[in-house]
Amino acid sequence: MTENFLVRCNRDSVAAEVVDGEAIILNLETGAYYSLDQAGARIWQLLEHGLDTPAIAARVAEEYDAPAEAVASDVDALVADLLAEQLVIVDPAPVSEPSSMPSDTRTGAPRAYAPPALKKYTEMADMLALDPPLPGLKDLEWKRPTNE
Amino acid sequence: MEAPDERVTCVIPVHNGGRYLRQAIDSVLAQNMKDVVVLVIDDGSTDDSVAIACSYPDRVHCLSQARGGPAVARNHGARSAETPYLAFLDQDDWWAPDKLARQLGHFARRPDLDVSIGHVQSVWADEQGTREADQPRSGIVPGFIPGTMLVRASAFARMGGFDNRLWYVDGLDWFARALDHNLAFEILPDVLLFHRVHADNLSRRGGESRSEALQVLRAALARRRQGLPIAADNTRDT
Repeated sequence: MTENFLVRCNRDSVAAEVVDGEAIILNLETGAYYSLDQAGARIWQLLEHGLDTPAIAARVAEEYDAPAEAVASDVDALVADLLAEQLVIVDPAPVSEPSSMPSDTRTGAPRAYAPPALKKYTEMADMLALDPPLPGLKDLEWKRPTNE
Repeated sequence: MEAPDERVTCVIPVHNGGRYLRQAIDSVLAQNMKDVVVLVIDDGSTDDSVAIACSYPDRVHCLSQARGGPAVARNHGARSAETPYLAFLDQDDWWAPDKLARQLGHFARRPDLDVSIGHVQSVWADEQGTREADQPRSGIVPGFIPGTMLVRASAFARMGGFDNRLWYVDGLDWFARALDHNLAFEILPDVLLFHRVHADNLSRRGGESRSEALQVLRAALARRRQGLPIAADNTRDT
């Protein structure tokens, strides 16, 4: 069953980029990082753009020419994984319709659809403890010392 | 028997870092092993950083370069050093007084050791900083940054230094490559470095540094996919 709720990327605690059809997602809280390729990367891209899960499933099914029900079930499973890893959060106040759709940047013949698999890597967590940034600091306002 | 050569060069890149530079240099000169020289690499400063570095009578040398970023400056210093050990320190940070002695003790016991690092205590410099003191990762953490490193110069040369293209996470990249190259590592439990977080260096923790970190992770994954063992756990299939 497809549950119609909106999740959004956890931007305070996550850094992510999609390059060459692969999404690399870094959880700044834990230092774990993740990869998603092919349909998974596309789903991440559409999540970043603010689409809800049924809209994502419909779009991916169309782009990959894959069975809609199977894709919908895969999208729900992936979103559950992303929620469990706190890479996305349930949006308490969904925004209105997204302005423009990110285009499907794949070129050449359509690739075969494969269910997305979120791969998790934790071996660099210690290395990421200090550099890059601590999460959630964007609203930190510093008061400059006045006595210098 | 001849005593081992334990001379250390500490490279401090500085860009308009006059505010805290003296504390950084002093923490090196105050080490309880004295065979250490400081090499300040001025990275295009327009403040009093160079004057501060030049004010020390001995054991502190200063070289200048056009603005190239901390990785370029660290590599500049490493190339100019003539000691068997290299260490690094950032302009805002300072060392624990026995940092080098502790690490050299481990090198003496382990001839195979290439790199020693320790832990880091973040220090929030301004009064408002306490607001974020309970950040989950602002306590004592493993110090995979240049400031805790003590590395054999031969191992550093073998690795090829820091990636000159990186401005924010050259340390992360270096350690990721070092592990892939099987450099012999040791992480001491001791706090060897105090890392000052303040308004100016906090701003560098924004979008660009995150983007660089993702580049480094992507490169590390690519290297491993080319044949090195990869430690992944698949959250769906397990």
